[in-house]
Amino acid sequence: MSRLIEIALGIVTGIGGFLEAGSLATAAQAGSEFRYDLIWAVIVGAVCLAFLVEMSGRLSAISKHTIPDALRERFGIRFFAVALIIMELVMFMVMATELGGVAIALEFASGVSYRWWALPVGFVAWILLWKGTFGLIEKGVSVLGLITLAFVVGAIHLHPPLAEVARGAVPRLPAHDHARYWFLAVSILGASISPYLFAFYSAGAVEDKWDVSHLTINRITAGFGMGFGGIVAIGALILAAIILHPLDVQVDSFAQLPLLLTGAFGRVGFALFVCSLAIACFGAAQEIALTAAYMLAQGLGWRWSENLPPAEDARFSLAYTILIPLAAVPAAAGVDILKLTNISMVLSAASLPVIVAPLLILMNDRRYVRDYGNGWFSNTVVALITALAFVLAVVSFPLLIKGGG
Amino acid sequence: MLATSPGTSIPSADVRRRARPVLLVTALALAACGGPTPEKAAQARDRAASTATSAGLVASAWDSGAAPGIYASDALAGMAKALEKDSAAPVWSALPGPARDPILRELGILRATTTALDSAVRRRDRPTLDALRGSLGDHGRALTAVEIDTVP
Amino acid sequence: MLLVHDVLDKQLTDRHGVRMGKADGLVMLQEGDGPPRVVSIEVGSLTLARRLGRRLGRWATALARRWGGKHTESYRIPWTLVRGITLEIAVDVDAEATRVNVVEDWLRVHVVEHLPGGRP
Repeated sequence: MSRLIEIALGIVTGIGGFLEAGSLATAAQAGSEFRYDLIWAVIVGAVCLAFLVEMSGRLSAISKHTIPDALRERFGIRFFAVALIIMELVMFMVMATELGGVAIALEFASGVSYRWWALPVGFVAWILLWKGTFGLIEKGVSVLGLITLAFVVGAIHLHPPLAEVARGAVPRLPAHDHARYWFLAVSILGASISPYLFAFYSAGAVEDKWDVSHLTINRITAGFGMGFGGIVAIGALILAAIILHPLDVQVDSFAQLPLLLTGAFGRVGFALFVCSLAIACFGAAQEIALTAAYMLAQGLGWRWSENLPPAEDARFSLAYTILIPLAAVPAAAGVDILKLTNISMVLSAASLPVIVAPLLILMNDRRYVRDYGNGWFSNTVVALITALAFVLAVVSFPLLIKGGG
Repeated sequence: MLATSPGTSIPSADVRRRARPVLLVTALALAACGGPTPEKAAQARDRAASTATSAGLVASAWDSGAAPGIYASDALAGMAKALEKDSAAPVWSALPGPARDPILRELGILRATTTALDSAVRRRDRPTLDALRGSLGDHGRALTAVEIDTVP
Repeated sequence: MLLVHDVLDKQLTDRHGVRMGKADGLVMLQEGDGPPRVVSIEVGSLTLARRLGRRLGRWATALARRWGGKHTESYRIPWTLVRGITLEIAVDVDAEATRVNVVEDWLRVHVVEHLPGGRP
């Protein structure tokens, strides 16, 4: 019975943890500007994510070492230092985006500018990390995150043309605005295959004391959870394609996004949207704050666990204590959150090789994964993802300049 | 600053080598951003029209009871501000007078209408809101109808 | 055994299996004409900073002299106390009794316990 609950929780983790400011905004932009044409990018992102998350969980369940641990131990301090700096920068940007997302949801609900909400939101996020445990945060975020399924229900409710939606699942060249199309494709991939998720998930496997017996649940969480999670983003994309595209409305501010759910559900839709945005972004912000602290602590050999009281792992706890208010600064200063979102997602995509390429080596290192290493299929997939990651890293900056406007 | 100790001085060739990627990216950025062009003006025109349409959608969402007044007013104020920023954008300087003038005129009307929608929402004045929405639609169409010659 | 590959940067665990940092550096001794011999493993951010670059090392040293009190140098674990090397290096010391956590403890006493809810 407890196994069943664990599996259910695993799936919930995947769905609830998938949507955040980045995947929501990029999916809505894609739908409003290119109708169903970019659905393939969401699917590719979700499939890559599922494979990589499964490997991260397996690595940690078998070796009891997290990804940051392994990056340092296997590749040395110099490589780790580079990875650490890149990852911390990207996580800072994404966390700033997510805190901004929560603040914007609160602005919609209250009429008070998001700039005033950023620091209070950061404070609440900090309190929860300071007093809470890993299980509370992981499960809380996941269960509350199920509200984002409203996007799927809404999309089905509006009867999308299924044949066209299915055609969107196949990659194709755009009819117009090439730079913008590829920019959005890269943003979507960056938003789905978030590098911080692997480090978070692998730390979670150690926090939850996973071992060989958890490999099945790990596979289910990764496969179903991330798969269903992708469906939420596709829901948002379809809603934007149905509601905004026919009117030539391009998404260029968060203020347009509640229209996706008011169009499908009326007043209830508005409440669902505000809650979805607030909860999804808040959860992501917390996961990122934790991951930023994990990465430092694990790589540098500090004591770490979200389940310990802060006095027991002072450096780890102080790391997120310092990071959260810093990440609230951009929103408090009035930075355009949608622009910040797009830039962070592209930087996310650009940083992928740093964590994906080492994973390919680690998943074949018997000292870490013993007899549970990658088979030829997983290796082929992860090699393809690594190649994709390098392509993304190379094309992201030119695209940001040409298609980001 | 004079570099005297060998530990702190960096040979200039080294600096040049390190600066090369930075220069390349900067050059790319400059080439991509460039100055205002008719293409960019056309994109900006469509974006402004999209903002105006969004304002109409927000207003009707409030009218139908789907969106609360707090959000509607907040969103409309933001969209009016965005339209105001659009009118002041340097991109229009790429256009000849006959294209630029009607665009700026329509942008001004759209901004004023959006601001008026905001205050109609605050006053809960539905009849005015209806009239304003109609006008917003007309002027939005007028904006997109302004031809921009993108072939030099 | 390859020292750099198998020892450097690996996780250290004490005799109770508690994690006690990473092998941040190695101390080698050359006696006469023989090959150099590993004397101890160093744990400490100062060692780490020095490995990352000469300049960073100098900064870290200066910083440690200024603020570090009496514990400026990294902690050394004698090689004779190494009990086994797998993915982790097991050493026969009691982490609590060493000063690998000196920064941790300082921060707890001077910062964490002054924050709301920081006192367990």
